Amino acid sequence: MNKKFLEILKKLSKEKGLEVHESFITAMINKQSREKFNNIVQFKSPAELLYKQLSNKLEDEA
Amino acid sequence: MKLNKVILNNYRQFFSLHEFDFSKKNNKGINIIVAKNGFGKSTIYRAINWCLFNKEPRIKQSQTDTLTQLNDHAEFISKKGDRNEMFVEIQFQDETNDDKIITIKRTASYLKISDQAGNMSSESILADRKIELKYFTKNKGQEIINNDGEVKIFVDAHILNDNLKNFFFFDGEELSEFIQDNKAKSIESDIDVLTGISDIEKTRINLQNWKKNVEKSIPKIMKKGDALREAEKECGRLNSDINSYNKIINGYKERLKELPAKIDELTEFAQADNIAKQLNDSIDEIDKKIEILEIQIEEINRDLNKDIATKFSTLTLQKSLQNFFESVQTEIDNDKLPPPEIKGAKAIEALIDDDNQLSIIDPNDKNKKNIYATVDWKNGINKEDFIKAIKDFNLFAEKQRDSSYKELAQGGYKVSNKLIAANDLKSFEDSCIKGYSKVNRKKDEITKLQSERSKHTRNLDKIDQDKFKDAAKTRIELIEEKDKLEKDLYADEKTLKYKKNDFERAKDKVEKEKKNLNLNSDDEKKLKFINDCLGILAPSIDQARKENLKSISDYFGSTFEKNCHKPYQASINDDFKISVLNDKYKELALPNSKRLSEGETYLAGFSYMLAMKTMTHYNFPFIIDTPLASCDDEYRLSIMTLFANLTSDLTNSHATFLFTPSEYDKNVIEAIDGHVSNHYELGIDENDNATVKKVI
Repeated sequence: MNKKFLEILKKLSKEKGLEVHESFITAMINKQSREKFNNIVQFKSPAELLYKQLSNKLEDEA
Repeated sequence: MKLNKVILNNYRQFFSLHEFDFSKKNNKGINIIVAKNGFGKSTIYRAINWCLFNKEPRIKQSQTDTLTQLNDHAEFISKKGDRNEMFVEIQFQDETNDDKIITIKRTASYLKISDQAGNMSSESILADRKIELKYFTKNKGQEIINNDGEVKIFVDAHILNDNLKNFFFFDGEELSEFIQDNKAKSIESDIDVLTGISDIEKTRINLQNWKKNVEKSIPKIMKKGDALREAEKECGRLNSDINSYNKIINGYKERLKELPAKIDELTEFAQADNIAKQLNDSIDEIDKKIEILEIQIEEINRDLNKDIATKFSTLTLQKSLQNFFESVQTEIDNDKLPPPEIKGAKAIEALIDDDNQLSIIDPNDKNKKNIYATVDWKNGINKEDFIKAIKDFNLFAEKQRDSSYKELAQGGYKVSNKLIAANDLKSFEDSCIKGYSKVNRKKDEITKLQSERSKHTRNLDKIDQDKFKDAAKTRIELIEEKDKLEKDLYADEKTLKYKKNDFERAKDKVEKEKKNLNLNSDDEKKLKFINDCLGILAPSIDQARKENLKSISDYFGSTFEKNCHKPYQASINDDFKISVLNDKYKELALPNSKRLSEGETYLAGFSYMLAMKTMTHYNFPFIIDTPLASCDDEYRLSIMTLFANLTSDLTNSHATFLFTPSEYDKNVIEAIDGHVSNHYELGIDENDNATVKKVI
């Protein structure tokens, strides 16, 4: 993935306290790159799954 | 991803099996294939494309059918029933794991259904077509994919994205045209693809679509939120209505308590007012009666006057007639009426002389007579007879006159007597007396009524009419108000009851909507999460795009400027246009301007390709067909030196050049000397099949 983009995203997410969101975005971009989701139907399922894992993690941390 | 090997079997002019080794040896990153035009240089590139993407670029559509791909010689020498197999196999090596070898093999086989001996127009039919992709994974060992769709996904994701084909293989001429056209849109999208921004952008779009998807429950959330607000609003409204109605109803009740006593107070006054009203009514009635009587008196008087006038004129006429006829009779009796006669009979006699001449004495001469005619007497009559006849006539006429006057006088008497008979003065007098007595009676009646009226007026004067009138009016108004209040009170109490029921229902709804809202908190959290993601993703993309462009622009500029023989400045500007400025800052890279020389254009093109490859860290091998076809000699050395240094500097980078013999000149040989891993020369045999000679 584009290094500059990752650096900028990391910096911005840290400033806003959205590190979990950053890991979600990174993971979904990697999936997009590998699996080439052409529509929301393909995207939605892994996105929902990952969101569920991350939201559980967020709640556990909280 | 490194390209190791390409194997062709019966593919177009490559009869039978041919293997091209493109692997990098001793850090030498350049492969060369030298061949004349039409000897199979571009066929190698087409074979790679066909194998990877099932497409053959830069070839006429009519020449892309599967039978045309089959080598003519292989098809020609086969016998009826033989199966001809054509395939292209490519081997890649994953640069991240040297052990990982990926091979892709696309095959098409043909069945010969007639041979050249039996039928000179030989034919083949497609018997089979397949794709096979083998790759190694640490966990599962070797895996095989043989579904075209799945292979496409694998190739796109792990080997070469379809969008990047133009960076994998290109033509020197095309690259030159690309720089001349200076197409910003293409540069922008190429940078996005190569830097991975297009995948990131797709993720952003998918996130936005996911957000919309979640927002399908946003309408629900909003609806429920709206419904709660609406229910709360309704509760507030109903509560306010109930308070208003309570106030109004209490006001009605208070007023209704006071009204009966006030109405009673005014009853006595109202009665007095009633008497006055009756008196006024009686006076009005008397006035009407008097008016009628006066009209009747006037009518009687008018009739009497008319009768008297008629009677008087009749009597006058009667008297006049009588007088007239009496005077006529007297005249007759006294024979005073003149007799009727033919006047001048004597004069006529004088006019006729004895000689029966009719003559008149001349007025101017009395002695002279003017004779005018001679009388011719008839039937023996003479002058004397004629005079006698005149006298007889006068006598007869006198008698006739007397008789007529007598008749007239007698008729007059008769008429006069009849008039006297018709005018009975006694009955006329009686009728008059009767009429006047009728008038007198009516006058008496009027007097009586006037007296009664005066009595009523006197009674009325004793009553304070205004005072009682107001009181009665107020009393009626109060009674009407009471009736209305009672009706309104009934209606409002009914409405209040409904409002209270509605209020209870609205309160229940508020509670229900509050519960509904709580049920959707998960959706809201998800929506917030997606919004937060988009909140950091979108600005990161924008910022990364800018920085990527700057890096690529810098690399492009420095590469071009270092190798250009003139003091030009090159960059890719913010609107993704390639810019080359001369020492006077004049733009040279304008579309189709040809302000750059061929060599400079080639240099700009290769600098751009290298910038894209280097700065995006996207490892794809170059295969460049006729890289320097129309490039100036002075730039050939520079450009090839650039590639030689690049491929040796970057471990995983390599480039394959497909030269024509004229391109492969001393400059090129000098530039790449010591950097070549594999060197092939292509020729052609007596059957027009390609021959392959490995030089290095």
